[in-house]
Amino acid sequence: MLIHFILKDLKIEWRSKEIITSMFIFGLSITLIFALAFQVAPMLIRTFAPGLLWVVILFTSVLGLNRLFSLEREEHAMWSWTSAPVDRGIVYISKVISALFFVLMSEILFIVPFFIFLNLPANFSFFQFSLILFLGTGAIVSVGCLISGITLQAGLRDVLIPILLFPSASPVAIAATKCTESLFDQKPMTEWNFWFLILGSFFVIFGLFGYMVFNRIVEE
Amino acid sequence: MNLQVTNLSKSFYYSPVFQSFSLKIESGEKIGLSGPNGSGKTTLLKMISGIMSIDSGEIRIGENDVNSDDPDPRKNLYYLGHSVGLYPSLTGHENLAFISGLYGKTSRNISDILIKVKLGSVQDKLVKFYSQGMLQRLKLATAIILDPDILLLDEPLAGLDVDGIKLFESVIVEWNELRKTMIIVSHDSDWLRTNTDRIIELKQC
Repeated sequence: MLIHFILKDLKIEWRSKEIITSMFIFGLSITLIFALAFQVAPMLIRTFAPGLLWVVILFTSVLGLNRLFSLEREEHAMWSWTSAPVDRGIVYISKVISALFFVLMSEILFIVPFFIFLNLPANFSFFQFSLILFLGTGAIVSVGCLISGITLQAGLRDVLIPILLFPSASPVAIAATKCTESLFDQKPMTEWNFWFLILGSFFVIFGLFGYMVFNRIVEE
Repeated sequence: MNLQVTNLSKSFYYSPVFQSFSLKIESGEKIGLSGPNGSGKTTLLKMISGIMSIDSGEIRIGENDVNSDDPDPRKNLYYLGHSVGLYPSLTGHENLAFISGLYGKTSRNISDILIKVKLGSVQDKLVKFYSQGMLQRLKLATAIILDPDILLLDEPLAGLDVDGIKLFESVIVEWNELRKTMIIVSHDSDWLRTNTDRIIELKQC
Protein backbone atom coordinates (compact mmCIF):
# COMPACT_ATOMS: atom_id res chain seq x y z
CA MET A 1 0.00 0.00 0.00
CA LEU A 2 2.87 2.37 0.89
CA ILE A 3 4.51 1.78 -2.49
CA HIS A 4 1.14 2.36 -4.15
CA PHE A 5 0.93 5.92 -2.73
CA ILE A 6 4.60 6.74 -3.37
CA LEU A 7 4.38 5.57 -6.98
CA LYS A 8 1.29 7.72 -7.48
CA ASP A 9 3.15 10.85 -6.27
CA LEU A 10 6.23 9.98 -8.34
CA LYS A 11 4.13 9.35 -11.45
CA ILE A 12 2.38 12.72 -11.12
CA GLU A 13 5.72 14.50 -10.55
CA TRP A 14 7.42 12.63 -13.42
CA ARG A 15 4.64 13.88 -15.69
CA SER A 16 4.54 17.50 -14.52
CA LYS A 17 8.04 18.02 -13.03
CA GLU A 18 6.46 20.89 -11.10
CA ILE A 19 7.76 20.18 -7.60
CA ILE A 20 11.46 19.54 -8.23
CA THR A 21 11.73 22.26 -10.91
CA SER A 22 10.11 24.94 -8.77
CA MET A 23 12.18 23.99 -5.72
CA PHE A 24 15.40 23.99 -7.76
CA ILE A 25 14.72 27.38 -9.36
CA PHE A 26 13.69 28.87 -6.02
CA GLY A 27 16.76 27.43 -4.26
CA LEU A 28 19.03 28.68 -7.03
CA SER A 29 17.46 32.18 -6.88
CA ILE A 30 18.00 32.48 -3.12
CA THR A 31 21.57 31.22 -3.52
CA LEU A 32 22.22 33.89 -6.16
CA ILE A 33 20.74 36.59 -3.93
CA PHE A 34 22.98 35.48 -1.06
CA ALA A 35 26.04 35.34 -3.32
CA LEU A 36 25.42 38.82 -4.70
CA ALA A 37 24.34 40.38 -1.40
CA PHE A 38 27.20 39.09 0.78
CA GLN A 39 30.32 40.65 -0.68
CA VAL A 40 32.47 39.74 2.33
CA ALA A 41 35.76 37.98 3.01
CA PRO A 42 35.83 34.23 2.13
CA MET A 43 36.43 33.30 5.78
CA LEU A 44 33.35 35.24 6.86
CA ILE A 45 31.07 33.73 4.22
CA ARG A 46 32.29 30.30 5.30
CA THR A 47 31.01 31.10 8.80
CA PHE A 48 27.60 32.08 7.45
CA ALA A 49 27.34 29.35 4.79
CA PRO A 50 25.91 26.49 6.92
CA GLY A 51 23.08 28.72 8.18
CA LEU A 52 22.39 30.05 4.70
CA LEU A 53 22.31 26.53 3.29
CA TRP A 54 19.65 25.42 5.79
CA VAL A 55 17.61 28.58 5.24
CA VAL A 56 17.56 27.74 1.52
CA ILE A 57 16.58 24.11 2.27
CA LEU A 58 13.83 25.18 4.69
CA PHE A 59 12.37 27.71 2.20
CA THR A 60 12.45 25.29 -0.73
CA SER A 61 10.90 22.53 1.43
CA VAL A 62 7.88 24.75 2.10
CA LEU A 63 7.39 25.13 -1.63
CA GLY A 64 7.63 21.38 -2.23
CA LEU A 65 5.40 20.39 0.69
CA ASN A 66 2.75 22.88 -0.33
CA ARG A 67 2.63 21.51 -3.87
CA LEU A 68 2.79 17.86 -2.78
CA PHE A 69 -0.28 18.24 -0.59
CA SER A 70 -2.07 20.45 -3.13
CA LEU A 71 -2.29 17.33 -5.32
CA GLU A 72 -4.66 15.88 -2.72
CA ARG A 73 -6.86 18.99 -2.63
CA GLU A 74 -7.31 19.36 -6.38
CA GLU A 75 -10.79 18.10 -7.27
CA HIS A 76 -11.00 16.55 -3.77
CA ALA A 77 -8.66 13.77 -4.95
CA MET A 78 -8.00 12.85 -1.30
CA TRP A 79 -11.57 11.51 -1.04
CA SER A 80 -10.31 8.54 -3.05
CA TRP A 81 -8.29 7.39 0.00
CA THR A 82 -10.09 9.05 2.93
CA SER A 83 -13.15 6.94 2.10
CA ALA A 84 -11.08 3.82 1.32
CA PRO A 85 -10.09 1.02 3.71
CA VAL A 86 -6.63 2.49 4.12
CA ASP A 87 -4.61 3.17 7.26
CA ARG A 88 -4.18 6.92 6.80
CA GLY A 89 -0.92 6.79 8.76
CA ILE A 90 0.50 4.98 5.72
CA VAL A 91 -0.48 7.98 3.60
CA TYR A 92 1.52 10.22 5.96
CA ILE A 93 4.57 7.95 5.72
CA SER A 94 4.25 7.90 1.93
CA LYS A 95 4.12 11.70 1.86
CA VAL A 96 7.24 11.92 4.06
CA ILE A 97 9.11 9.55 1.71
CA SER A 98 7.90 11.36 -1.44
CA ALA A 99 8.71 14.79 0.04
CA LEU A 100 12.12 13.57 1.21
CA PHE A 101 12.87 12.29 -2.28
CA PHE A 102 11.74 15.51 -4.00
CA VAL A 103 13.58 17.83 -1.59
CA LEU A 104 16.78 15.75 -1.76
CA MET A 105 16.62 15.78 -5.57
CA SER A 106 16.30 19.56 -5.62
CA GLU A 107 19.14 19.83 -3.05
CA ILE A 108 21.41 17.78 -5.30
CA LEU A 109 20.66 20.27 -8.08
CA PHE A 110 21.19 23.53 -6.17
CA ILE A 111 23.96 22.57 -3.72
CA VAL A 112 26.66 22.56 -6.40
CA PRO A 113 25.78 26.14 -7.52
CA PHE A 114 25.56 27.05 -3.80
CA PHE A 115 29.20 26.07 -3.27
CA ILE A 116 30.32 27.65 -6.55
CA PHE A 117 28.51 31.00 -6.15
CA LEU A 118 29.52 31.42 -2.50
CA ASN A 119 33.05 30.29 -3.35
CA LEU A 120 33.10 27.65 -0.62
CA PRO A 121 35.79 24.97 -0.39
CA ALA A 122 34.48 21.41 -0.36
CA ASN A 123 37.19 19.85 1.81
CA PHE A 124 35.03 17.72 4.08
CA SER A 125 33.59 14.21 4.22
CA PHE A 126 30.86 13.90 1.55
CA PHE A 127 29.47 10.85 3.30
CA GLN A 128 28.93 12.77 6.55
CA PHE A 129 27.57 15.76 4.62
CA SER A 130 25.08 13.46 2.84
CA LEU A 131 24.01 12.01 6.19
CA ILE A 132 23.40 15.48 7.64
CA LEU A 133 21.42 16.48 4.54
CA PHE A 134 19.37 13.27 4.70
CA LEU A 135 18.54 13.51 8.41
CA GLY A 136 18.02 17.30 8.40
CA THR A 137 15.75 17.16 5.35
CA GLY A 138 13.96 14.12 6.78
CA ALA A 139 13.29 15.96 10.04
CA ILE A 140 12.01 19.04 8.19
CA VAL A 141 9.66 17.04 5.95
CA SER A 142 8.35 14.86 8.79
CA VAL A 143 7.30 18.03 10.66
CA GLY A 144 6.25 19.66 7.40
CA CYS A 145 4.03 16.77 6.28
CA LEU A 146 2.28 16.80 9.64
CA ILE A 147 1.61 20.55 9.38
CA SER A 148 0.56 20.21 5.74
CA GLY A 149 -1.90 17.50 6.81
CA ILE A 150 -3.31 19.70 9.58
CA THR A 151 -3.76 22.61 7.17
CA LEU A 152 -5.06 20.45 4.31
CA GLN A 153 -8.65 21.65 4.76
CA ALA A 154 -7.74 25.23 5.71
CA GLY A 155 -8.46 28.08 3.34
CA LEU A 156 -5.26 29.93 4.24
CA ARG A 157 -3.02 26.88 4.01
CA ASP A 158 -0.45 28.56 1.74
CA VAL A 159 0.16 31.10 4.49
CA LEU A 160 -0.28 28.71 7.41
CA ILE A 161 2.35 26.18 6.33
CA PRO A 162 5.36 28.55 6.62
CA ILE A 163 3.90 30.28 9.71
CA LEU A 164 3.61 26.93 11.51
CA LEU A 165 6.58 25.17 9.97
CA PHE A 166 9.33 27.73 10.58
CA PRO A 167 8.97 27.84 14.39
CA SER A 168 8.37 24.07 14.60
CA ALA A 169 11.37 23.25 12.45
CA SER A 170 13.70 25.82 14.02
CA PRO A 171 15.34 23.21 16.33
CA VAL A 172 16.02 21.13 13.20
CA ALA A 173 17.48 24.12 11.34
CA ILE A 174 19.69 24.98 14.35
CA ALA A 175 20.89 21.39 14.83
CA ALA A 176 21.51 20.92 11.09
CA THR A 177 23.41 24.23 10.93
CA LYS A 178 25.59 23.21 13.92
CA CYS A 179 26.36 19.83 12.30
CA THR A 180 27.17 21.43 8.92
CA GLU A 181 29.27 24.16 10.54
CA SER A 182 31.31 21.59 12.49
CA LEU A 183 31.74 19.49 9.35
CA PHE A 184 32.93 22.50 7.32
CA ASP A 185 35.40 23.28 10.14
CA GLN A 186 36.55 19.64 9.93
CA LYS A 187 35.86 18.98 13.59
CA PRO A 188 35.66 15.30 14.60
CA MET A 189 32.14 13.87 14.76
CA THR A 190 32.46 13.23 18.52
CA GLU A 191 32.27 17.02 18.99
CA TRP A 192 28.97 17.44 17.15
CA ASN A 193 27.23 14.09 17.47
CA PHE A 194 24.82 15.68 20.01
CA TRP A 195 23.34 17.86 17.24
CA PHE A 196 23.36 14.92 14.88
CA LEU A 197 21.31 12.88 17.38
CA ILE A 198 18.83 15.75 17.70
CA LEU A 199 18.27 15.59 13.93
CA GLY A 200 17.75 11.84 14.05
CA SER A 201 15.44 12.09 17.07
CA PHE A 202 13.29 14.77 15.41
CA PHE A 203 12.97 12.65 12.28
CA VAL A 204 11.92 9.52 14.20
CA ILE A 205 9.69 11.19 16.84
CA PHE A 206 7.76 13.38 14.39
CA GLY A 207 7.60 10.50 11.92
CA LEU A 208 5.96 8.25 14.51
CA PHE A 209 3.74 11.03 15.87
CA GLY A 210 2.56 11.89 12.36
CA TYR A 211 1.81 8.24 11.65
CA MET A 212 -0.31 7.98 14.81
CA VAL A 213 -2.35 11.19 14.45
CA PHE A 214 -2.72 11.52 10.66
CA ASN A 215 -5.85 9.36 10.70
CA ARG A 216 -7.76 12.05 12.60
CA ILE A 217 -6.25 15.23 11.18
CA VAL A 218 -7.21 14.60 7.56
CA GLU A 219 -10.91 14.20 8.33
CA GLU A 220 -13.13 17.10 7.28
CA MET B 1 -25.11 -5.45 4.48
CA ASN B 2 -27.19 -3.25 6.78
CA LEU B 3 -26.33 0.29 7.85
CA GLN B 4 -27.30 1.88 11.13
CA VAL B 5 -26.90 5.50 12.17
CA THR B 6 -27.63 6.14 15.85
CA ASN B 7 -27.98 9.52 17.62
CA LEU B 8 -25.74 11.25 15.11
CA SER B 9 -24.87 14.88 15.80
CA LYS B 10 -22.82 17.22 13.65
CA SER B 11 -22.32 20.98 13.79
CA PHE B 12 -20.40 23.43 11.66
CA TYR B 13 -19.12 26.41 13.64
CA TYR B 14 -21.72 25.79 16.39
CA SER B 15 -24.51 25.62 13.80
CA PRO B 16 -26.07 22.14 14.07
CA VAL B 17 -26.74 20.18 10.88
CA PHE B 18 -27.75 16.94 12.63
CA GLN B 19 -29.01 16.53 16.19
CA SER B 20 -29.57 12.99 17.47
CA PHE B 21 -30.30 11.76 13.95
CA SER B 22 -30.98 8.03 13.60
CA LEU B 23 -31.49 5.89 10.53
CA LYS B 24 -31.61 2.18 9.82
CA ILE B 25 -31.22 0.74 6.34
CA GLU B 26 -31.64 -2.98 5.82
CA SER B 27 -29.39 -4.99 3.58
CA GLY B 28 -30.40 -4.64 -0.08
CA GLU B 29 -32.58 -1.60 0.55
CA LYS B 30 -32.51 1.34 -1.87
CA ILE B 31 -33.03 4.66 -0.11
CA GLY B 32 -33.62 8.06 -1.69
CA LEU B 33 -32.38 11.08 0.22
CA SER B 34 -33.90 14.44 -0.57
CA GLY B 35 -34.23 17.83 1.06
CA PRO B 36 -33.43 21.49 0.52
CA ASN B 37 -29.89 22.84 0.06
CA GLY B 38 -28.00 22.80 3.35
CA SER B 39 -30.19 20.09 4.90
CA GLY B 40 -27.14 17.82 5.25
CA LYS B 41 -27.59 15.21 2.48
CA THR B 42 -23.96 15.32 1.32
CA THR B 43 -22.73 15.74 4.90
CA LEU B 44 -24.54 12.55 5.91
CA LEU B 45 -22.99 10.56 3.07
CA LYS B 46 -19.53 11.96 3.83
CA MET B 47 -19.89 10.98 7.50
CA ILE B 48 -21.04 7.47 6.59
CA SER B 49 -18.10 7.07 4.20
CA GLY B 50 -15.60 8.25 6.84
CA ILE B 51 -14.51 11.35 4.89
CA MET B 52 -16.03 13.62 7.53
CA SER B 53 -15.78 13.22 11.30
CA ILE B 54 -18.88 13.09 13.51
CA ASP B 55 -19.38 15.07 16.72
CA SER B 56 -21.23 12.29 18.52
CA GLY B 57 -23.27 9.18 17.82
CA GLU B 58 -22.45 6.01 15.96
CA ILE B 59 -22.45 4.78 12.38
CA ARG B 60 -22.34 1.01 11.96
CA ILE B 61 -21.95 -1.09 8.84
CA GLY B 62 -23.00 -4.57 9.87
CA GLU B 63 -21.29 -4.93 13.24
CA ASN B 64 -18.47 -2.48 12.58
CA ASP B 65 -18.17 1.14 13.64
CA VAL B 66 -17.17 3.30 10.64
CA ASN B 67 -15.63 6.01 12.81
CA SER B 68 -13.24 3.77 14.69
CA ASP B 69 -9.54 3.89 13.79
CA ASP B 70 -9.95 0.54 12.04
CA PRO B 71 -10.20 1.21 8.28
CA ASP B 72 -11.66 -2.23 7.50
CA PRO B 73 -15.38 -1.31 7.63
CA ARG B 74 -14.80 1.16 4.77
CA LYS B 75 -13.97 -1.69 2.36
CA ASN B 76 -17.67 -2.47 2.10
CA LEU B 77 -18.75 0.92 0.83
CA TYR B 78 -18.04 3.42 -1.94
CA TYR B 79 -18.97 7.09 -1.93
CA LEU B 80 -19.67 8.51 -5.36
CA GLY B 81 -19.58 12.22 -4.54
CA HIS B 82 -20.64 15.17 -6.62
CA SER B 83 -17.04 16.44 -6.46
CA VAL B 84 -14.55 14.60 -8.61
CA GLY B 85 -12.50 12.71 -5.99
CA LEU B 86 -9.94 11.64 -8.60
CA TYR B 87 -6.41 12.80 -9.45
CA PRO B 88 -6.57 15.27 -12.38
CA SER B 89 -2.93 14.57 -13.31
CA LEU B 90 -3.49 10.83 -13.72
CA THR B 91 -5.30 9.17 -16.62
CA GLY B 92 -8.69 7.54 -16.21
CA HIS B 93 -7.09 4.10 -16.26
CA GLU B 94 -4.40 5.10 -13.73
CA ASN B 95 -6.98 6.56 -11.37
CA LEU B 96 -9.00 3.36 -11.45
CA ALA B 97 -5.89 1.23 -10.96
CA PHE B 98 -4.89 3.38 -7.97
CA ILE B 99 -8.32 3.25 -6.31
CA SER B 100 -8.86 -0.45 -6.96
CA GLY B 101 -5.43 -1.05 -5.39
CA LEU B 102 -6.58 0.74 -2.24
CA TYR B 103 -9.45 -1.74 -1.95
CA GLY B 104 -7.21 -4.70 -2.70
CA LYS B 105 -8.88 -5.36 -6.07
CA THR B 106 -6.99 -6.49 -9.14
CA SER B 107 -6.69 -4.03 -11.99
CA ARG B 108 -6.99 -6.63 -14.77
CA ASN B 109 -10.53 -5.83 -15.92
CA ILE B 110 -10.26 -2.01 -15.76
CA SER B 111 -10.11 -1.57 -19.53
CA ASP B 112 -13.21 -3.76 -20.02
CA ILE B 113 -15.19 -1.74 -17.51
CA LEU B 114 -14.04 1.54 -19.04
CA ILE B 115 -15.26 0.26 -22.40
CA LYS B 116 -18.58 -0.68 -20.77
CA VAL B 117 -19.07 2.91 -19.51
CA LYS B 118 -18.04 4.25 -22.96
CA LEU B 119 -14.67 5.62 -21.84
CA GLY B 120 -12.52 3.06 -23.63
CA SER B 121 -11.22 5.58 -26.15
CA VAL B 122 -10.21 8.15 -23.53
CA GLN B 123 -8.87 5.84 -20.81
CA ASP B 124 -5.28 7.05 -21.37
CA LYS B 125 -6.25 10.72 -21.32
CA LEU B 126 -5.54 12.80 -18.19
CA VAL B 127 -8.64 13.21 -16.03
CA LYS B 128 -8.23 17.01 -16.01
CA PHE B 129 -9.30 16.97 -19.67
CA TYR B 130 -12.50 14.98 -18.97
CA SER B 131 -15.91 16.63 -19.24
CA GLN B 132 -18.38 16.53 -16.33
CA GLY B 133 -20.26 13.65 -17.94
CA MET B 134 -17.07 11.69 -18.56
CA LEU B 135 -16.04 12.18 -14.93
CA GLN B 136 -19.41 10.86 -13.81
CA ARG B 137 -18.95 7.79 -16.02
CA LEU B 138 -15.46 7.29 -14.59
CA LYS B 139 -16.87 7.37 -11.06
CA LEU B 140 -19.50 4.86 -12.13
CA ALA B 141 -16.69 2.64 -13.48
CA THR B 142 -14.94 2.95 -10.11
CA ALA B 143 -18.07 1.81 -8.30
CA ILE B 144 -18.42 -1.17 -10.68
CA ILE B 145 -14.80 -2.25 -10.16
CA LEU B 146 -14.91 -1.92 -6.38
CA ASP B 147 -18.20 -3.83 -6.23
CA PRO B 148 -18.96 -2.78 -2.62
CA ASP B 149 -21.97 -3.90 -0.58
CA ILE B 150 -23.06 -0.34 0.16
CA LEU B 151 -23.16 2.45 -2.43
CA LEU B 152 -23.51 6.09 -1.45
CA LEU B 153 -24.51 7.95 -4.60
CA ASP B 154 -24.54 11.74 -4.38
CA GLU B 155 -26.34 13.27 -7.37
CA PRO B 156 -25.18 10.38 -9.59
CA LEU B 157 -26.94 11.63 -12.71
CA ALA B 158 -25.54 15.17 -12.60
CA GLY B 159 -23.82 16.08 -15.86
CA LEU B 160 -24.78 12.87 -17.66
CA ASP B 161 -26.33 12.89 -21.13
CA VAL B 162 -29.36 10.74 -22.03
CA ASP B 163 -27.18 7.71 -22.83
CA GLY B 164 -25.26 8.21 -19.61
CA ILE B 165 -28.45 8.34 -17.56
CA LYS B 166 -29.70 5.12 -19.23
CA LEU B 167 -26.36 3.46 -18.52
CA PHE B 168 -26.41 4.54 -14.88
CA GLU B 169 -30.00 3.36 -14.45
CA SER B 170 -29.14 -0.03 -15.95
CA VAL B 171 -26.23 -0.39 -13.53
CA ILE B 172 -28.51 0.55 -10.62
CA VAL B 173 -30.90 -2.22 -11.75
CA GLU B 174 -27.96 -4.67 -11.77
CA TRP B 175 -26.93 -3.56 -8.28
CA ASN B 176 -30.51 -3.94 -7.13
CA GLU B 177 -30.57 -7.52 -8.41
CA LEU B 178 -27.34 -8.15 -6.53
CA ARG B 179 -29.06 -6.86 -3.33
CA LYS B 180 -26.66 -3.95 -2.89
CA THR B 181 -27.61 -1.40 -0.27
CA MET B 182 -27.88 2.06 -1.82
CA ILE B 183 -28.42 5.60 -0.62
CA ILE B 184 -29.10 7.94 -3.50
CA VAL B 185 -29.16 11.73 -3.12
CA SER B 186 -31.12 13.62 -5.74
CA HIS B 187 -33.19 16.77 -6.08
CA ASP B 188 -35.39 14.96 -8.63
CA SER B 189 -38.20 13.64 -6.44
CA ASP B 190 -39.94 11.88 -9.35
CA TRP B 191 -36.78 9.99 -10.24
CA LEU B 192 -36.27 8.99 -6.61
CA ARG B 193 -39.90 7.80 -6.31
CA THR B 194 -39.46 5.59 -9.38
CA ASN B 195 -36.02 4.23 -8.57
CA THR B 196 -35.88 3.79 -4.78
CA ASP B 197 -37.73 1.76 -2.16
CA ARG B 198 -38.37 4.71 0.15
CA ILE B 199 -37.45 8.37 0.39
CA ILE B 200 -36.09 10.12 3.47
CA GLU B 201 -36.68 13.87 3.50
CA LEU B 202 -34.05 15.81 5.44
CA LYS B 203 -34.94 19.16 6.95
CA GLN B 204 -32.67 21.96 8.08
CA CYS B 205 -32.05 21.99 11.84
